[in-house]
Amino acid sequence: MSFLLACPECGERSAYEFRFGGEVKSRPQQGDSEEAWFQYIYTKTNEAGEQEEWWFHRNGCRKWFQALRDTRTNTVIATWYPE
Amino acid sequence: MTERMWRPRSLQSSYDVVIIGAGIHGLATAYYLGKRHGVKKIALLDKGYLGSGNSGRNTAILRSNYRTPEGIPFYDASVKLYEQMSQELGWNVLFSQCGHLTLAHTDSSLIGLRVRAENNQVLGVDSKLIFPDEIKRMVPAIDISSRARFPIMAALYHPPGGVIRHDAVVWGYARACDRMDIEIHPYTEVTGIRVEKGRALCVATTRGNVAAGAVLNVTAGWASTISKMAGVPLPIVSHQLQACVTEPLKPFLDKVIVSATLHVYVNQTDKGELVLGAEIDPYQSYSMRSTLPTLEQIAGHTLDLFPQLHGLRVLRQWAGVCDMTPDYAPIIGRAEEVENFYMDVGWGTYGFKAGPIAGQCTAELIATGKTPALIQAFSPGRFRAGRLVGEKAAAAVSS
Amino acid sequence: MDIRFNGKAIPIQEGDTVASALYRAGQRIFTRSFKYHRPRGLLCCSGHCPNCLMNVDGIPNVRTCITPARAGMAVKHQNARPSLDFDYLAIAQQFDWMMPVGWYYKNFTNPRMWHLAEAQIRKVAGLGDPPPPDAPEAVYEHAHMQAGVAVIGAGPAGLNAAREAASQGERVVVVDDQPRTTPGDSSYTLLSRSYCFGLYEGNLLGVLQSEPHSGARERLVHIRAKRIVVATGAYEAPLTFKNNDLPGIMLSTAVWRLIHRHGIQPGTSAVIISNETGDSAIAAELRNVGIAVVATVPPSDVLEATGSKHVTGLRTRRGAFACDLVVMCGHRIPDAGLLSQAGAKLEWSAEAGAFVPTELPPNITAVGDVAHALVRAASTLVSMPNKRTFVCFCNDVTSQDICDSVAEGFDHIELLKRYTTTTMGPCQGRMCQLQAIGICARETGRAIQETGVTTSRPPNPGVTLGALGGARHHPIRRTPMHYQHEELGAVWMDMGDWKRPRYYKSAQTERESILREYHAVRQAVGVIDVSTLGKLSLKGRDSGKLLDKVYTNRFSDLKPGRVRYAVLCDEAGIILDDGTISRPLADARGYNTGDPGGTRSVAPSVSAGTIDDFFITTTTGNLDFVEQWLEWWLAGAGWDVQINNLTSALAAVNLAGPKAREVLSALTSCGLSNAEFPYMACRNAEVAGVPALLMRIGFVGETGWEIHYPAESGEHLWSALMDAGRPFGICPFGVEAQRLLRLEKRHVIVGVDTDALTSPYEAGMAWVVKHDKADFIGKFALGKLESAQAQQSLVGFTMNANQIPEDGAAILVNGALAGRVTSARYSPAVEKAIGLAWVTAGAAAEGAQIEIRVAGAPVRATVTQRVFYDPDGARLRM
Repeated sequence: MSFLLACPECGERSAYEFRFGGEVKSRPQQGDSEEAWFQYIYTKTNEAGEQEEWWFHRNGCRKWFQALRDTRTNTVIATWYPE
Repeated sequence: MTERMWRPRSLQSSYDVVIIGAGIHGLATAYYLGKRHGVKKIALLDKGYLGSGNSGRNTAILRSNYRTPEGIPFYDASVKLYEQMSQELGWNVLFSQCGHLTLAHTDSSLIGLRVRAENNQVLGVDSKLIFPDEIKRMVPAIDISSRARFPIMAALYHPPGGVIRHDAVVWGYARACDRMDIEIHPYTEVTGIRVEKGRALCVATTRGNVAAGAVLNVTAGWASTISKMAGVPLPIVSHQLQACVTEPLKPFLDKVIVSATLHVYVNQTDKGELVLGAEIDPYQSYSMRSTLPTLEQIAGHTLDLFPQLHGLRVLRQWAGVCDMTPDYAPIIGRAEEVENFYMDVGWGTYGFKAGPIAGQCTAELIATGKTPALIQAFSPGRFRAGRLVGEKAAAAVSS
Repeated sequence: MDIRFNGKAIPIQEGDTVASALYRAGQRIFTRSFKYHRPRGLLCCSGHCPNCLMNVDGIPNVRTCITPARAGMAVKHQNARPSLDFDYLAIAQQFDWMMPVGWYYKNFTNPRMWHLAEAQIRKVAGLGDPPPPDAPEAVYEHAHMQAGVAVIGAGPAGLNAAREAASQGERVVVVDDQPRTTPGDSSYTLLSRSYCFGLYEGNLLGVLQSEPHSGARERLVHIRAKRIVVATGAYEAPLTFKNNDLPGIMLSTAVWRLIHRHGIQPGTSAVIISNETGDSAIAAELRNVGIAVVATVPPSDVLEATGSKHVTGLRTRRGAFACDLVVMCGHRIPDAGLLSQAGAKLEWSAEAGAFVPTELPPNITAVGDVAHALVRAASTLVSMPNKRTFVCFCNDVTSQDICDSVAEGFDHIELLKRYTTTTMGPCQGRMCQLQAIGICARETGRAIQETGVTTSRPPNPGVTLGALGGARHHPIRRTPMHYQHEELGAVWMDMGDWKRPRYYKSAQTERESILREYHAVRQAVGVIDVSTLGKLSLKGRDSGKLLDKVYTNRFSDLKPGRVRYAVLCDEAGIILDDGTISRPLADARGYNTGDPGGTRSVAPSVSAGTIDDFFITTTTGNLDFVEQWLEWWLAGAGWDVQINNLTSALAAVNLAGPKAREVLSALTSCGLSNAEFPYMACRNAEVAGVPALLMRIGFVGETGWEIHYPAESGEHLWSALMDAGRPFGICPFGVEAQRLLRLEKRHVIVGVDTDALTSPYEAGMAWVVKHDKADFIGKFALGKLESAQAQQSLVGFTMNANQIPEDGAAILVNGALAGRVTSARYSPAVEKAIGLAWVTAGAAAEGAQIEIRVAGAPVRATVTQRVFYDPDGARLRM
């Protein structure tokens, strides 16, 4: 992981300092359909392109944030704390 | 007049089977469709040159010492097909059945190896636990001393395992397919799939559109991309896997070495080079651009096993993209959403060794509509049914 | 001053490389080629070709032409037996008709034949000799630098760019592979004798520095640069004609270097192959040192070189010339590999006869010869097929091989590469790629641009495993009581990075030692160091809410002063981890409310501040994961929770046994009776004067307390316990004894008895899942799993006879694979071997007979769900 990732707290660091947390998915409510839960648990968009995803600054401030990254080039477009 | 291995073809307007992905799984499927089931109007489409995908990037290790009752017979069948392959295809695929060692450096990984040894033996696969003295006899170059941070405790010794020339398998199958008039279309990228009323009608490519009786997604790294075109969701995430090769040395290592604790593969080719592999990079990516930290890890772990090789140079590193499923087992079968859309995907880091048998079984499924017993456990519907396969501990170097 | 070559002393002069010293001493053959064992001599003197590879001080494949000679070096030849002058395997050349390109694919289709042939092929393959296992180690370092601008190459263009950037106030680093002969400019940092082998994502450069100082062999420098200027210049590649690989046929660069750097006259009479008309600069150089220039011929006129172990002449269309030196003014190839790695495209320039980089990514520029088409085309001629015209020197691939391959259908440059192995040797295409592309283009009728190049990949030039590995530090984590265990005779085991006592050597055998520990715990008292447990403190109003959301159990209703078992599942209902969660009594001073006095302050880490404090323990290996998991569910939720990782801040021990209370009461005034401190309660108190959190839990099945306290008091409290326990026969116990003790209580260990597919239902832990909670992680999936038919179950078993299975042994039912043993030990309590195992649902009934493999043979066992020792738990509540 040598691409650069801008932690909203600490700034641009080597991706090697972070732990990848997967694509951002919105969690259904209890009581939503079985299909909605099945898709949430198993289905992955696995985008070859811009993807919203989670990162944790493991060797730094130890906070979770989200990023928009192009998975084809590892170009990080934006990072932010989720609301 | 020299005979070409396979001929350039023009793309026709329709085929019985359109196979997306002309790596070894796709080629093997086409081969068996032609040979066993008499299906001939087949187009193999690939966006690059033959073998440009994972088929040309893997570390070419063959073995069947898996963990589960679903995996073991499946991979065993594949190894047996590989044993016959050169003769069957009339093309030497250079299968070096030299023996395979999986090293354990901790209590928990030793127990994991024992589970595999036990299951392998019960199911008839040659595999057993051996201990440091015997490991050293087999691999004199390896360091079994307590100097290492995690000394070797044991190894799973699997005589039928070994390495093969991956490109040769692609070329051998391609030639055999071409001789059956199965069309191979490299440099032909699929850009869309038209689905109507739950049926895939037509595949759009950069060289024109083709109507299809059946469509098979047998890509690696592109499984989700292609399946999305057909409206088929998948539980796959794509991670990069890297490997490298060193300068040649005179022969000193004639076994394939894998360490689950140290996350590294080592084997020496017939030319004398060491091919070194690793675990998948810990983040999703399609970039296929090599990285320095992974190369450093591979080197460091190789030296943990063979410290005397510190002066050996790495000449080249490369990467492929692996499609990982939740249970480290492939997805083979017909899509629930599209009745003539088949998939042989999700092969993670264990696809090359399964090519022949996956091709044989997928061909049978497409030709007869019936799912062979060997691949029933890998059906796309298993996640919904809660029947995941338990291979995670055996599949790759991460355990 | 000398070096030794194959034992013979060779004098060296200042500035010599190993190769120049050998050449001056008369050595002309430097290696034998890979396939045909043809004699090879100095060709490039730049470290680009495989011709000068030798073994230096035990290291194989050393490029002697760029390796400085040092007094005392031991140099040996490689890949020739018995000698470079006479090599048995040179006979291979006589059989080249048997070994055309692809010969091993087309023959040996019988697996047995291949097996035999392969054994022979392997024996003659390879180049350098592998160092023996006891070869001396060397020191390799890693360093990291940041730069505003990194310039690769200190030629005129590179230094220009460096000075310009420095003048604009940038922090500039220059990387150059030549030894530093002139003092550098202070405006930039110069890394000399360094080459850049990779341009990675995020403008990370990998640079290899040779001999950075006397204490290290190589240093890998990581440079992160905002801007990169590639000024790597152009290198020279050989021309192709018949027998172009003979010793004495050199690139003009090599000739120049031998003359100017080493004062060597590389021959007496030379033929120059060059497209330049008139007297060339290189001709003047040669004449200056007394070498006769017999002729200058254009490449298109060359027919073949003659000679067997050294060039003796060059036959051309203008006549045959006797000579002992052929100077090739070769193709000038922009060294654009780094740019390609970064994603630049390469465009063919016919006038330059070279691929020139274009479409450079942002923040990367190219200057000098690497960038423009100033280079002159050495030759537009591409050789005709011939079995002695060498394109790839590394693998002995001839122009004939390449033409044949294209005809066979390997007509894409990448297929051609893989089929012929051109560019796949030590030079990685520097010497051969251009010719291969030219031949491929001609044979397919495509333009060179369309034919393209193969992918450029790092590390180029190559880098040693040693440099990549660096110092290879492997962390060892020790608990605060590590050295006390050492003194007590601990036999260590690894748990991740941690060292833990497996057992303490107190008897003749391991088995006896472990049993001794076991009996001490059951009958008297034992103490185990559990400091490696993950420990997290949660504070904040919403702590209980977070725990209810993330764990399957309920914690918001956990009464202060109580402990509860906790299980963590993922959304698919798979167990991720387990542990305990305590809610210390709410007291500002952090003391047990029954404690008099209490004026002493306590370490904040174990004090109870408010009612919203929780203390979580996790399994040893999963702390990082659990902490991240909890933080993840907090992210963006806007809840008031702070999580602190206290793992290293706290030591922890488990004191257990019928005498535990007596031992502990000698060290604390905290009430320990069943009334004051019941089972599954927790208290803050001083133990041996150390503020601590005590939890009365019972993993091993005896009355006992888990004590968490500041790590700096680790040794003190352990000593205090051992002293207080001596009259009661206290025994330290290790992981093995603990495993046996808990197995008798049928307590599951996550990660040992469970795996990546286990749900709480299969593991017999239905009671931890509180479905009446409105929402928690895994609720949906667990709801389905609760009613689903389990395919397998975790069961207990007893062996019917005496054998003890190994952990991991297979279980058979009616001869078919039906599960596996996760833990098995001999149980003194029931005097039988017992264990836990996964079995298929059908075999999971109480009393069911199963067969467990012991040494490969099936042995009968009986399934039981009963707890083996003290099923009512009376011993826990003494």
